[in-house]
Amino acid sequence: MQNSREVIIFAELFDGRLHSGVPELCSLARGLADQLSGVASAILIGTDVKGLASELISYGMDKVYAADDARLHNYQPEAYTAVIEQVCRSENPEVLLFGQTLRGRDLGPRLAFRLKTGIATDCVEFTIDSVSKKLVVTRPAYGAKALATLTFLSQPAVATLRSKAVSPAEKNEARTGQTIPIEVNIDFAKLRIKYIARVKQESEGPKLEDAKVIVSGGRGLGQAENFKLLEELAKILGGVVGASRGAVDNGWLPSTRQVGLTGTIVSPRLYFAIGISGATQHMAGCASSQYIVAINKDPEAPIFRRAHYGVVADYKPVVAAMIQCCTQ
Amino acid sequence: MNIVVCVKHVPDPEAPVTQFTVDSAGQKMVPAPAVVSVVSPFDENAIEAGLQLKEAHGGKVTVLSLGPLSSLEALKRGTRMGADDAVLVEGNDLPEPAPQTTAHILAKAIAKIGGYDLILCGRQAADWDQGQVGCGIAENLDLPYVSIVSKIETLEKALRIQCLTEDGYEVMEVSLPVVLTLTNEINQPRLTTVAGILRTTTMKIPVWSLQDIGVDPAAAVECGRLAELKNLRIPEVKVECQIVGGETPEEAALSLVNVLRSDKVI
Repeated sequence: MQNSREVIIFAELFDGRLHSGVPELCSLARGLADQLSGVASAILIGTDVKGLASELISYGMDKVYAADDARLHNYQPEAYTAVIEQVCRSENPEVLLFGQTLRGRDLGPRLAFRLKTGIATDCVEFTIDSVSKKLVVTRPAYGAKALATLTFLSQPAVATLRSKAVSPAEKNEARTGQTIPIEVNIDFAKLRIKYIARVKQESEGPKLEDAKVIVSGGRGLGQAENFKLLEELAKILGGVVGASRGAVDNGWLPSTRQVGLTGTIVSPRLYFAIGISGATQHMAGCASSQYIVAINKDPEAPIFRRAHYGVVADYKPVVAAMIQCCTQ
Repeated sequence: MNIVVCVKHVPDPEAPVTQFTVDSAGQKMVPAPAVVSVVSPFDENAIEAGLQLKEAHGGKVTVLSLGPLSSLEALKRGTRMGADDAVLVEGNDLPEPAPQTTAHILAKAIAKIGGYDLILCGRQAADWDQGQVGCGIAENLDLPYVSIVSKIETLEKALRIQCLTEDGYEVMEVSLPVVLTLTNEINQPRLTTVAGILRTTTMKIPVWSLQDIGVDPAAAVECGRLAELKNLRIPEVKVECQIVGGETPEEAALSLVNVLRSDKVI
C-alpha cells in the first residue's frame, strides 16, 4: 500500500476551546510529518469549530478535518470514534496521535482496536526510524519504574502523548492550510452510550497543570483537615494544592487534584511533596518540576532521592513556620 | 446481575524500583524474590464494585484471570473478598505487552462463561499501564465500553455511570451488557470476608487452557503483533538532594525559605 505519509492528531476541545495540550500535539505532529516528508493534519469534532480550525493551522497543521455538528457538541465516545475512524479509513495516515488526557486514554484504544492496529499510550519520546520510516516511541512502564521503547508493525501507529513531554508549537498566523468538512453519517439513535450531563467540581483558582507552585500532600498528612495548612502555604506562595493517589484514595482531596501517572502531569517552578513517600507513579507526574522540595519524617523515603531540597521532620511545625517566615 | 471481573496478577507496584532489574534481553522486568505479586490495584476496585452491585441487586461475581498458574493467587484474593466463582485461563510465555492478544483470549473466556450482564476491569494494569484490554474485550464481544468510571448506578437494563473529566465528571447512560474500566475513585476495596476465606479453602478453581476456550495460541499471538517491544530499561535518576536542617522546625523552615529565596524560586 502506498504510504500516505500523513500524521493526524485528534484536536481535543475543552469548554469549546482547544485543550491546553493541543499545541504540544501540533508541535509533535509537525516534527514527525517533516521527518516523513509528509503532512500534518488535525481532526476537530464539535460545534462552531471554524475559528479553531484556523488556530490549528496557525499551530502548524496543513489540513484540518472538521466535523461541525450540533449533535457532537458533547463527548460521545461511539460517535467520536466513528468520525475519527471515517477520516482514518479515507486518509490512511501513517500516525494517529492523541493527548494522554482522559479523552485520549479513552479514544486511543478505541481507534486502535477498531482499525486493528497497534497503540502505545503515555509516550514521552517519538521518532521516525530512518530505515523503516515507522514510528518508534518510548513510554514509561511498571508505574514509571521503567522505560519501554516500542516500534510499530502496523498502520496507523496510534500513540498518546504525555502532557509536557514536548514543547508546544508557537502560533504563526501567516500559515495557511486547508479545512476539510467531514460529513457526519451516524445513526445517533443506535448509540449504546448516551451522554447525560457534565458536572464541574473544580474549585476556583489556577488549574493544577498551569500552576507555578504546587504544594502536594500524601498519606503522611493523616487526615483531610491537615490539608488546610498546605492550602495556607500554597496561597502565600501563589500556588495551589495537589495530592498523591494515597491522599485521593482516602477521600481527602478530589481526584482532580491528583498528581501522578493516573492523575495530572505537572511541571511547576516549585513542587512541594509533603508526607509523600515518592512512589514512581507519583514522581511520573511531577519529575519535570524545576525544583522539588520534600518534607517527610522518614529519612529513607524514596522522595529524598528525587527531591532537590529535603527536610527530614514532621511536616506540621515546619510548614507552619514556613507560613510565618513567608508572611513576615 | 451476572458480573465478570478481569484481574491481573502483577508484582507489587508499591515495591521500590531498587527491587527490580531488567532481563538480559531487555524485554522483561524481573522482581527480586522478596517482591510479592498482588492483584493489580485498579482490578481490586473492579472486584469491589462487582461485589457491591451483587449485594444490591443479586446475581453473581466471577473473577477471571489470564496468566501462569501462580495467578490462581489473584483469583483467590477475589474469592476471599466474596466473589462466587473464579476461572483461570492458563497462558504461559505469551508476549507482553500485547493487549490485543490478552483481549482476544479474555473475550473468548468470557464468551465461554456466558450469561454476563457486566464486565469490569481496572483502568490499567500496574505493570504495563496501558489501559487497553477493557476496550479490546468490548470490541471483541461487540459490546459498548466506557472507561475510567468513578461511579455506577443501576437502571432498568442499563447503567447510569460517572466518568472522570479534568474538572469533574460526566454522566452517561449505557445499555447492558457493557464493559467498564474502573478508577480508584470508585471505592475502597474491602480486605476479606470470613465467608469468602472459608469458601476459598475448599474451592477448586477451574483452569482452562487456550484450547479449552477455542483459542489457537499461534493466532492469538499473531493478532497482537502490532507493535514490538524493542527495549526495556530502568532509567537512572540522578538528583542530589540537599538536606536542609536545623535544631528546631522553625530553623529548618527558615533555612528552607532562605535557600528557595536565594535560588529565586520564591
